[in-house]
Amino acid sequence: MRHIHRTLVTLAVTTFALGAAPSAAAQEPTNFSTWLRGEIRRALTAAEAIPANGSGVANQKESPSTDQTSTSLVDTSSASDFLSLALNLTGLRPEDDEESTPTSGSITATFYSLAAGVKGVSLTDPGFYRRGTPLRRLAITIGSEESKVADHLTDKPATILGAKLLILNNRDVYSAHARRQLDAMDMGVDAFVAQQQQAINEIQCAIFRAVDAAANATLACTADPAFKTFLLTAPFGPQNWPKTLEALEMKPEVRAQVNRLVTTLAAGHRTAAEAVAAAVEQIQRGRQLAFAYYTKQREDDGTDEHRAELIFDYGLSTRLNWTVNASFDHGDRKTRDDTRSGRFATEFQAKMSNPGSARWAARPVVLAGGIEGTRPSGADWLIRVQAKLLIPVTAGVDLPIAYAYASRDHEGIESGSRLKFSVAVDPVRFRERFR
Amino acid sequence: MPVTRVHHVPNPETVPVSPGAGEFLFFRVTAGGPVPRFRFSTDIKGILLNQGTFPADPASVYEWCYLRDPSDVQEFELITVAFGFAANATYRYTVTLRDRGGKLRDVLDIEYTGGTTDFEVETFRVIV
Repeated sequence: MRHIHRTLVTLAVTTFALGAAPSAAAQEPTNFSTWLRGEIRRALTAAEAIPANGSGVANQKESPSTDQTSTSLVDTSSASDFLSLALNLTGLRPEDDEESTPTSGSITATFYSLAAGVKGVSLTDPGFYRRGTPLRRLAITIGSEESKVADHLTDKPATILGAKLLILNNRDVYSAHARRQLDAMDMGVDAFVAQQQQAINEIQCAIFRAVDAAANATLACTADPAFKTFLLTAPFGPQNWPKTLEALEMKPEVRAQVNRLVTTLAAGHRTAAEAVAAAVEQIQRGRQLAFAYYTKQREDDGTDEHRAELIFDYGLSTRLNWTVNASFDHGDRKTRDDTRSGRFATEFQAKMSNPGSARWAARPVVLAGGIEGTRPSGADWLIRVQAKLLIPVTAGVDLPIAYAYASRDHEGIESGSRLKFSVAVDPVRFRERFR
Repeated sequence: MPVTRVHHVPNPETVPVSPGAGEFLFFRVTAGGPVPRFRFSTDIKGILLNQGTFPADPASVYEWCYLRDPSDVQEFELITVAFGFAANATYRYTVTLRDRGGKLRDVLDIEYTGGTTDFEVETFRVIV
């Protein structure tokens, strides 16, 4: 299993090396469209109050909670859409000074990413993404974790195996719930498009009458033969718009009329933006229910562990997600009696920052607080609480740092507080960030 | 979050087309994500098509012609394509002027990158 650690580290380092700096965007042309966008932006003044969005906080990229060194106290319902690697680097306790090498690690992949790899299809191919919706519901995990003789009856590393099935998946863009929201979003944009087309007609007509002496103000612009002649000189295009705008600025009353139209248009833009944000919020707040099974297999007389788990996620707002776990744990001890326990855990995850504008931008900073209660048969409750800060380094690379407390010792869990941190890498998102 | 644009051929704002001489406009939308959402509309006829109009949707490339049918021809018509970025981060939108012999010239070629709550609208006017 130790070579798995090395493989995971190599994969992560290789992934870091894949990127290249994105090219700078070309300069905006000096045409009517650029000017109108700028005017609308100015009219919108302060922040448009578009709620924060980005990669969902319910997409788990860290090792599952069954891994005692994982920074996940609670499992969330979704895996990454594609593939994620997690290296749990250390479990520092205040009174000791443990090694800084990885103590566990795992790779989680959806069947979707595996199928794309087998077929040689791009993970972001639209047709494959739609057809692969059911495949994104199922994820598998493989990894390894250190063992201790006192707790696990062997010092050989455990092999972590797991599978997670999303039963209810309202956050997938191809769910019926999401498609209804996208349709609502389109209606909001359609209304703005109609308003903008009308505004462009009125603004360009006003400018024509202001700057062209041949204009006949008694006729509608579309009925005025001079309007076509005017348009054929490309007055709104990149070559001539600066001159046209200069002529417009010489007519304050026309400029004021244009400003009023732009103000109305900006209000329409704000309404459309709110409709889009509301639709995205409804998708991101969708409910998710998953069933997961994880096992830790150990060689020789080492204890094999099993966890069957139900996971529920609910978006309380665009910034706050609530997760609940209920699981049954079984310890298969070859030389002693087996152990059985029930476990209940809950966690709140709050987005603390706005993500970047692009889909492949880094996730937001996430602060999570959770509590877990485990009741082994014939023993007292084990209570664990954890506060976690997930720091995005760049798209696809996160550093989760957790401060955990356990009420007592229990099979690999030591009482007291402990600082954990790991590196979670989603190689596809990291690579796409630089494409 | 503002949409970022790369203007390979900027919007000319007005496009003279001679349908009588067999000229028409050829549109292509290339999507760089899993769920493209766009609408093609005019100020006179309203919404003419969206991604769902195409049997192959979702696809990486959508193509269609306009002004090839004489009934399409309207003087001073404003043509708009609106893009949604909720589940598709990048688009490339190109318009070329064509006739029966093939491409006459590029009219517009712009790439867009946006965030999940962004939308973008690109409009030009046809002069027949």
